[in-house]
Formats: sequence, structure tokens, C-alpha cells
Amino acid sequence: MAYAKTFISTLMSAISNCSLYSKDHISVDNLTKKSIAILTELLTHKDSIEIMIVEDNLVINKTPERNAGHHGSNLIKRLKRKGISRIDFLRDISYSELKQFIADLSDPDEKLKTYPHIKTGIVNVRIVGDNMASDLRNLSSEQVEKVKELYQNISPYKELNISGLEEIVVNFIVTFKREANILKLISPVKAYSEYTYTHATNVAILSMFQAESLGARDDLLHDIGIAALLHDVGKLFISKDILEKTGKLDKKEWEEIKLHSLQGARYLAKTDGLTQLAAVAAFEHHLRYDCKGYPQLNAGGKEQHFCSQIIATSDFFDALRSRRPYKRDWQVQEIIALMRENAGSEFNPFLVDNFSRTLLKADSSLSGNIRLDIFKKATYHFQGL
Amino acid sequence: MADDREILPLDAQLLSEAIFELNVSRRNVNIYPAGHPSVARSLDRAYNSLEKLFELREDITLAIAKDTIVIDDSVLDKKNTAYREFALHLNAMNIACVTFTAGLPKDELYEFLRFLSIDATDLAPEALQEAVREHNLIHINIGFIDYGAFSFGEGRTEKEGSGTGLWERYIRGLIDGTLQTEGISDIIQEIPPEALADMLNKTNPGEIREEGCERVISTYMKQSPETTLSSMELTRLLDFISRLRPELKKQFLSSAVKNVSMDIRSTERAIREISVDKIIELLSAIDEQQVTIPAALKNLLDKFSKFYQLNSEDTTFGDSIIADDIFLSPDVVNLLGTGDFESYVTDIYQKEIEKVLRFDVSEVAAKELAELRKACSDEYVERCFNQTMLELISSDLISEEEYEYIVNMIKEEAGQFIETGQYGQVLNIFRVLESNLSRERFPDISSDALKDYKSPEFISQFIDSLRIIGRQAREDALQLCDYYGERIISPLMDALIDEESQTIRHFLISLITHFGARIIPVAIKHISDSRWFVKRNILLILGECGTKEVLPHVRPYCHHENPKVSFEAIKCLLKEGDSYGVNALRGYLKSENKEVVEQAIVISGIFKVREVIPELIQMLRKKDISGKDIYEKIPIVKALAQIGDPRALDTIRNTLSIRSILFKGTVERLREAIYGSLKHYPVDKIEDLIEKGLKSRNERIRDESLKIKKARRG
Repeated sequence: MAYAKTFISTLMSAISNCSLYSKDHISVDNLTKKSIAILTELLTHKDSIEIMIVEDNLVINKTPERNAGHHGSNLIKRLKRKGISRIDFLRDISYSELKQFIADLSDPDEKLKTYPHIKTGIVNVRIVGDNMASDLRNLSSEQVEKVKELYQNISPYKELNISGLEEIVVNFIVTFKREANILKLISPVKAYSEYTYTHATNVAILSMFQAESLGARDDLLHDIGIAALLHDVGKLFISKDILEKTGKLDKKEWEEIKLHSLQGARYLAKTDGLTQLAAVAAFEHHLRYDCKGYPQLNAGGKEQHFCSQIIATSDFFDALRSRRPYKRDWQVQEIIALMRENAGSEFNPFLVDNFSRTLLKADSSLSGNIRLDIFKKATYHFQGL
Repeated sequence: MADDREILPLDAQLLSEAIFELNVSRRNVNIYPAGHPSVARSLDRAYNSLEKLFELREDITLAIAKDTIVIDDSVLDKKNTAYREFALHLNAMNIACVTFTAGLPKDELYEFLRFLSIDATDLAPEALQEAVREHNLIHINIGFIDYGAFSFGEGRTEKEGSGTGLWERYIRGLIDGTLQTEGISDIIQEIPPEALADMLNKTNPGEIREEGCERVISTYMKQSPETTLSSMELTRLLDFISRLRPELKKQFLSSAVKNVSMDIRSTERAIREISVDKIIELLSAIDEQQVTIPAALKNLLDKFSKFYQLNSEDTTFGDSIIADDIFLSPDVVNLLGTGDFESYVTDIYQKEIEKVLRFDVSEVAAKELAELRKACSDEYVERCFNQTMLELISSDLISEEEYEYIVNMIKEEAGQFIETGQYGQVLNIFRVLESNLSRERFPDISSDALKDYKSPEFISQFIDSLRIIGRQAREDALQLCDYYGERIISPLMDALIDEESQTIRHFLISLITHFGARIIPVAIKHISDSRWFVKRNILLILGECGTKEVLPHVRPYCHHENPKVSFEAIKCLLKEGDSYGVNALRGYLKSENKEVVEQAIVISGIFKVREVIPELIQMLRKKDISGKDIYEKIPIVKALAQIGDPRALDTIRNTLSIRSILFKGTVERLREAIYGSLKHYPVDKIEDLIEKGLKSRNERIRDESLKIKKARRG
């Protein structure tokens, strides 16, 4: 068992290195060779090594691994993303097929292929009603044949336009269920501050809109949406009087407001099963593109993450576009103009441009108000990754 | 009488008390010794609760679905901390179910609780089963999880989250005795709808419970929750339901809705392909669950649901929707509250949001942004998360408990950083912890963490990583080695000794020599190693970092039987200008072994050993008998030039005048070597040679002479 764990550690290191560097990097080569050596040893007296994920537990050769550690969790995460909950490594596995498997698993876009000595699939529990099964076994083969004929005569292609029906009810229920855990996290925000909650939902929508326009899909888009939805969760820890004060904040109050980034990161870091991006974005969404915002950095080496830059753009837009007791709702063109002024310092200029352009395309009625030609000569800067 | 009692439902209050007391007793038995009042008290209470339950039943079976306790067909409240804790503990011990039988003595209950206090973390299932046998339990039967019952759906995939509910299904099958450990029978799928409906219509009302319906449906639809649903399967299901008698129809329709809603994408596909009547039939059950959706929530869910519709070809979802407590939880009730949406979001803004929601980005041909993908890769996000955690522990905001939690979290990440060569991240962790320690910020936790990072295990992990990936992150590797200081020298030296790859050995040597004279004690310790290559590497390192104090340790190896060792020792001594090394070199220049002599000549040149010029000149003057003799003078010429002493020039001139009819080509090579190395001599001493060279018929010699002449002018 301990050796199987070593195999998982080595395999995960190979996957991480493949993701960080490349499939042909020497470290991936070395770790693949090391993994093969361990597998060969493990397969000396067995035909296969079976790794299962039963919910969030790792089971190796039908024995649960309680201390799977960081590597185990990462393996579970990677496999889940690929929709895989079981892998069998078979005897005679070759270096090249394991290396291909590592490359495929490290690439978020790559589907797992068919490998001669690596079987992938899902874990299932099969149940059948005992009594019913015995009754059904008594049916004659003629009856079964009759049913098969009957089914073959049914045309499965009757066209029907039901667009909208499922979106209204079914999708809603399914999405509600799917995002239940996230909704539970945002629910206290609604209870605490209706505005913060409304703002969070708008920022999530706008951030997903931006991310989608930049090519984000699937899990990545989902993670950005979640991070955006929870970016202001730290406001739960700020006094309600300050949070909803309509007058000017004094220095002390402002200092407390500024703590919400740290508070949010602190809260989300302790929340299990959440994308790490959520804590990062909660911490950084006021950091600014030039890192001159807040919170003050103490540990060094930090830059504002690209997703935090997306969220910061949406955050700014919604804060100004929304109506508050102490401020009117700004017009889109006013906000865009201000964002443009601060592009390069507060905001990533590329994102300001992309946001304006995509917003215009989504709502053509804004076209008379937003001048995009100014961006034609803009120079885009990405912070070093 | 006993039979009558068996079908009675268990009293919820009694059951709740029994599990609560069992959990308390378990904890007490774990903490206190036998006979301790706390143990006795809680054991009494647990025992009495079970006794009361035995009045209703002969036996009580608790089934464990990971964090949930299932009794009969009921799932106990998942939010109850005691139930959850007890379930998780049993699950961690690989226990699937426990049956308590009437007549259970108190001592045996205590034995059971003692068994539960075993640390099962590293125990194999067989060892746990053996432990049960040792506790001699008669009235308590423990069933362990049989992972063989989890079958393999080879080649299939599921979307994230759809794997949930496995435990519930496993436990349900276990309780009902319907768990299949081998391939599923296809019989049920082959049944005509009317035959199946007829059969079910014959059952008595109340005989089929909700779970039964779901089971029939999921099996009949050839659908475990992981598979997708075809329109034919959906049609077949609805045909089947339409043939049921009214009360069964309602019950089955409700289950069918739950079942199809698990997989919205394939349901949507299937729905498009079947008749309106059947859709209405399906939606009528969904409509019963209608809720009023506030605008903010609807916007949000619309966005998320659009995302799933667009992207998931075969998305599946967990066990149930309608019966799920999501519709009942206070969180949800709160989210369904109307709120003040309109006071913040104007009608115009809401319309803009709706347009954003409806907007199909594919219309603008969204460009795949490589930077976005890279920024969101697991490794990059982990790195940013780690930096965020370091900022958190650098702030004054968090409590001691949180500090410890985060420091432990960082520790796991650090291992990953080490393995992927991200040494800069690890160094940053160390710096923050050191800084916190110096500020006396949670000093115990900071210091313990640092101690772990300086442990032989962690250092060994670092060294392993250096061997695999260190060369790609040389600068950060050096800095991390610097942080560790002398404590890492010995492990690095050990790694060097074990390393088979020459390239990695060179890298490790560069890391070791980076420490300068600090490596001397460890190197001296290893110099007596019996393996020649170890000695050679240590001598090389000493040569790079050594001082005069190492010379006495090096001298004996000048005469080592292996020339690779002896020459390394000589080089080490020559670097320090040690005469012992010169004498040893002189000795090797007179060796019978031509390879040894040649190496000694090369070293003489590299180290500019003026003391051996007479020997080299003498060797150059030696009369040539064969072409080989002429050829062997080339390294001598080069070595003399490297030393650059004009004393050699007369002999060089003589050598240039050598004539040979038989070995004309070799003589030309020797002359070329002389002119190629002339530049090392003082220019004013070689003017005649340059003039001669410029007139030479050999193009190379002319070129070399011209170069020297031009260099002189320059």
C-alpha cells in the first residue's frame, strides 16, 4: 500500500511537471521512468493496480487509502475533471503509454484516450430488485422479442420545438442543485447585506461574460463565476453600520472596509471543496493592476491574478452602474470612460478594451454611447505569469 | 410476537438518543481508562438506550453511507453533528453496517466501543477484521465495506459531481440484499412495458415505496445515474408509466421526473424527440415543484445553467432533486426572498444584464487566450493561493488556530512546490515563517513548521527533486541550498555519491562547490571512501573550494592506482601551488604509460607549471623515429605555449626545422600546432617566427601568423 502511494506521488509529480513545463521535459521523462519502475514492481505479483474514487475517497486495490494527502487529492481532482473515477494499470504497461497518459491527464483540454494497459472508466454500484428480477426471469424469450420489435417501429425523431420550457423549470432546478454548496456560501451574504449579495451576483455574471469572451469554458468558466460570486464575502465580517453608511467614511471606517479582502480570503481558504481561485480573487480584487491598491502586500512576490483583474473590472462596473442611496446609477459610457482613464494603473487595459467591445456587441443599443476607436492604438500589457 | 415486533418502526427519539450516547461513549472510551466514571456513565446511557430499542426490535442495523447513517429505508438527519461524527468514524474504520441484537451485555458493548477506538488509519481491512474477532463480539455484527461491489464502467466518463450518492446506493443495496458484485442482468431491460406494468399493477397498495420506484425506473431505463438517457428509453419509460394504475402512476411519475432531471442535457435532447403529450406528462410533475425566483438569483442561475447547457454533452447530476433538502434549507429560503433588487439595479441595467446573459459569445468568435488558460492552470493557481496564504499569515488578522491551519495547508503545498522545482515559492514560505518567528508571531507554530522544513525527510525530498529537475531552476535551487546552509552539504554529498548520471553529478557538484570552504569537513570525511569515483569527485570539489589546510589530506592520493584519482589530486595541489603536486606531476611525465604521460603534459599546460619546462623541452627534443613520435609532440608544444615561457622557443624553432619525407603530413600538423599556439609567447620574442610563417606555403600557418601580426599592431 505504501508503495502504491509512492506510485501516486510520483505520477502526480510527473503530471504537475508536465503541466508546468512540457511533455518532453527531462523531469517528466525521469518521473515517468520512476513511475514505470514502481508500477513494474507493484505488478510483479498482480495483474493490475486498481485505483478507484468512491466519492472523495481514494481506494487502491479495494483498500481505502485514508491518508491520500496532497497527491491523492490532486489525483482525485484531475480524474474528476476528466469524468473518470477508476483507473486500472495493467501488467506490461510501457513507458510510452504511461507518458501519453500523463500528458493527457495534465492537459485540461485533452480527453483520455484508449491505452493498451491503462483502463479508465467510472465506479458504479449496481442494484437490482431481487423479487422483481426473479419474476422477470420467468418471461419468455418470445415476449422479449415482441418488445424489441415494438420498439424498433417507434420513430425516435418526432420534431418538436419546446425551447424555453426546460430553461424555465428544469434547468433552474438542476442548476440550483448543482450549485447548492456555493449558494449556501452566498446565502449569509444576502442575509447580511442585500446590496452586497445583488452586487456579487452581477459581478459573477459580468465576470463569466468577460471570461467566456476570452475563450474560457467548462470548469474554468465555472471557477471564475464562483470566485466572482464570492469576491466580497469578507464583507460579512465588516460592521453593518459601516457597510451601509451613506455618508463619508472616516479613516478608521475606511481601514475596516479595506479589511474585507483579507477577511474574504481567510474565510474562503478554510472552505473545503472550493476552487482556490476564490480565496485568491477575494484577496486581490482591490489590489489593482499595478499592485498599488489594498491589502498591503507583506510576503512579496505577488501580482494580481488575471482572474482577479477580470473580477476587478466587473466589480468596478457594477458598483458604478448600480444605484445606492448616496449615489446615482452611472451610465455605461461614463463608467467605460473612467475605466479607460484608469487602464494600465487600476485595470488591465486589455480587459477594459475587451469588456467594452463585448458589452457593445451584447447590447447594440449602447453603440451610440461608447467610442471604441480610441482603443485601436492601445498597447496591451499582460502581467507576467 | 417477535415477528410482530420486527416490523414496528423504530422510535425516532429513542434512536436519536441511542446514537448520540453511542458516540459519546465511543469518545469517552477513547480518552479515559476502563472504569473511569465518564466511561461508566456514558456506557450506561448508551446501553439503556439500546435496551429500550430492543423492546421494539430484536435487532437494529445501522448502515453507514460515509457521513450518513441509514436505518431501514430512512436516512438520518445529515446535519446532526453526532450522527455525522459517528458515521464518519465508522466509515473511516471501513465499516458498512453494524447490527446490534437483543441480549447484548454491557461488557460486550464496551468491547465494541474499545474496538472503535483503534486507530485504523494505516490498518489493512484484514487487520481490522482480525481485530473484530479478537474482541469476541457475539451480539454485535460488523459488516465491512466490500469494495468489490463497486463495479467498473470501463471507457465511460461522468461529469464532476455525478459520482455522488455512491455510498447511499451501496448501502441501500447492502440493506436490501440487492447489491450486485458481478455484471448486471439485462433481463429487466428486455421486459415489454405492458408486462412490467401488469406485474406492478398486481402489487398491493403501499407495497412499493419511493426507493423501489426509483430502482425500477433506473434499471428499466437501463440507466444508472452515470449514463445518459435516449429518447427511446424515455419513451419506453413513459409508455410503461401510462399503463400503471392511477396511484402507482403518480408515484412512478414523480420518481421518473427525479430520474430524468439528473441529466438535463440528455433529457433536453430526449424531450425534443418525443410527443407533446408525453412532455406535458413529464412537466406536470416538475410543475408541482415550481418556485418563485427572485431576479438576482434567477440571473445568476440562468448564467450557470446556460453554461452547462452550452458545454455539457452528458452532464449528470446527483441522486435526487425534488426530495433534496436544498429546497427546505434556511439558506435556500433566504435566497428565495424577494430582497431589494430593484432599488440597486435599475430596469435599464437589468435589461443590460439580460442581454449579457442571452449573448452568445460564439458570435464574436471568442479567441482562446493562452494567458488565461495558463493563469488558471492548477499549478499557477496553487502558487497564487500559496502567496495569498503567505499574505494571510503575515497579517495580524488571523487567530492562532487559523494560523496553524494555514501553516499546515502551506506545508502540503510546499511538498508539491519542491517536486515541481518551484524552489522560489518554498523559499518565500521559509522567509515569511522566519520573519513571523523573529516578530514572535505564534512562535511555537512558526518554529515547529520551520523545524519540519529542516527535517531530514523534507531535505531528502528537496535533494530528490534537485536530481530530477534542479538544473532547470538552478538559481532558485542555489538560493534554497543557501538557506539550508551547511545542513544540506552532507545530503548533497550523499546524493552525489549515489548519482549515476554524469550531467546530474556535475550539477550537484556545482551546488556543493557553491558553499566554498564550508564543504571541507564533509568532503574530508568522504575522501577515504573506497570507491575511486567518490574519491575523484571529492578531490574535484576540494580543488574547487579547498584551501591550504586540505593539502595534507590530498597529497596521499597523488599516487593512487587510478590515474583519474591521482590526477585530480595533483590538480587540487597545483591550484594551491603545492610542490608535492609538481613533483608528482614530474614523476608522471616520466611514466612508461603513454596515456598517463599525455595527461600529465596537458595538466602541465593547463596549470602553467613552469617547474616542469625542462622535462617538457627534453621530451620535445627527443629524436623522432616514427610518425607517432612526431604526433606525440603536439600536446607538448601546446603545453609549453600555455605556460608561455620564452625558454622553450629555441627548442620550438628547432622543432620547426624538422624534415621528414616519410611523415610529411604529421610534421605539417606539428608545425600548425606550433603556429596555432605561438600567440601565448611574448610577441617581441617570436617576430622571426611570424615573418617566416607569413611566407609559409601552409595556408593555416600563414593565417595564424597574420592574426598574431595584426594583434600586435592593434
